[in-house]
Amino acid sequence: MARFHFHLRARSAIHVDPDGTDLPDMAAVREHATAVAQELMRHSDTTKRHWSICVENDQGERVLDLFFAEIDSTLACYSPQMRLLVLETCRRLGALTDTLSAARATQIEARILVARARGKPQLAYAR
Amino acid sequence: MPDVTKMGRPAAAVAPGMLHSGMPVARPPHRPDNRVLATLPPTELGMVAHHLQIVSLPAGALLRHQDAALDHIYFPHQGVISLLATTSGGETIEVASAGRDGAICPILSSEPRDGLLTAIAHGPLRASRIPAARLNTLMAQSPALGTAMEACREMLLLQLRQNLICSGLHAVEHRLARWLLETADRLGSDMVPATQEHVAQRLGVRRTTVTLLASKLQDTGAIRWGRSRAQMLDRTRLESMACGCYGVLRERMRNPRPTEPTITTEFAS
Repeated sequence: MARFHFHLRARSAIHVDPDGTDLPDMAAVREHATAVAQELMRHSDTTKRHWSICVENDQGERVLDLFFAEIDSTLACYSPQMRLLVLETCRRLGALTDTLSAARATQIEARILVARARGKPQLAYAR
Repeated sequence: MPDVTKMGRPAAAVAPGMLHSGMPVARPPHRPDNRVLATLPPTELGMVAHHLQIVSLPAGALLRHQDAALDHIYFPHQGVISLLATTSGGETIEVASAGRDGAICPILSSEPRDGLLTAIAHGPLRASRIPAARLNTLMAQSPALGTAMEACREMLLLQLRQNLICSGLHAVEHRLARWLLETADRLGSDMVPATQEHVAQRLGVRRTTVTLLASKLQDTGAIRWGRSRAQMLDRTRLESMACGCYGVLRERMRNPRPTEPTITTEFAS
């Protein structure tokens, strides 16, 4: 058993799963990520199609990216080329979200550093 | 090859054999905190109060397993009792709940030997209880008590209907917002004692799903969710995120007998 964290990329934000779930192998990880994605998509409109789940192990290494478009059954009516196009767009959107999120984190760290250098309380600058 | 189909599912919420009998603490006060009891005329309340026993139970206490009969009727004073449907694998979904506005009683007036639903205390609970057989005897003598219990049963059935609609048709983020609002209403507090694991067991989804949606809700400023409790910061915003089921049930609780029922005669063929 190892612990895995299932983070959600939705719009331009990343929602983290701090506690994580203990699972035996990668097949179980994919199964859990797919089940969570299906629970989030169930009875929803198509606005979640571009979302994705990024799975990390306890060391913070990314082990899986599951794009909702991969398992979205409402895309089944489109041609394979069209589905690939949608998936590729989702991948790029996911990469953009990661970049934006990393940039935001850097910005916050920089503010904290500046605040510390000035001897001000760092928490006030955390957001 | 391990059976991966159940990996990561919420742990079993309840197991047979851990039934909590509760510690009787005192006879009920003259004016009960439970609204069902409080609406009874003084003479009939006096008659019932003689048989009532107040119990204090810890969070998660099992009042009845679905395979056993409901031996006591509970009238919560503080806290909420959840009625859960459970599978043999330990997965659960909430069917109905009752706080100080209601009671946990058999949904049918004559309940079969197995209770159909599991009843557990959601958060610390303080409630009056009365043996089921005793209440049946008293109801024969007191028309007001009979009417009050009928209203409780109706409320449980209404919740059953609304939860069927909700779990079958509505997206999980709307169901989560609704659950938080309803539980807060039943507790009469903006602070809902609940871990995300517990809420996942109520909604019948994985804990991860609740964690991710809780993070989204927090980003909107509607709630703040700590380790073991969720605090409502912006109720209006949370209401705008809940499905219509919340409004339907709240309206029915405020106005139990609508004078003009709305009937839809046309159905999609």
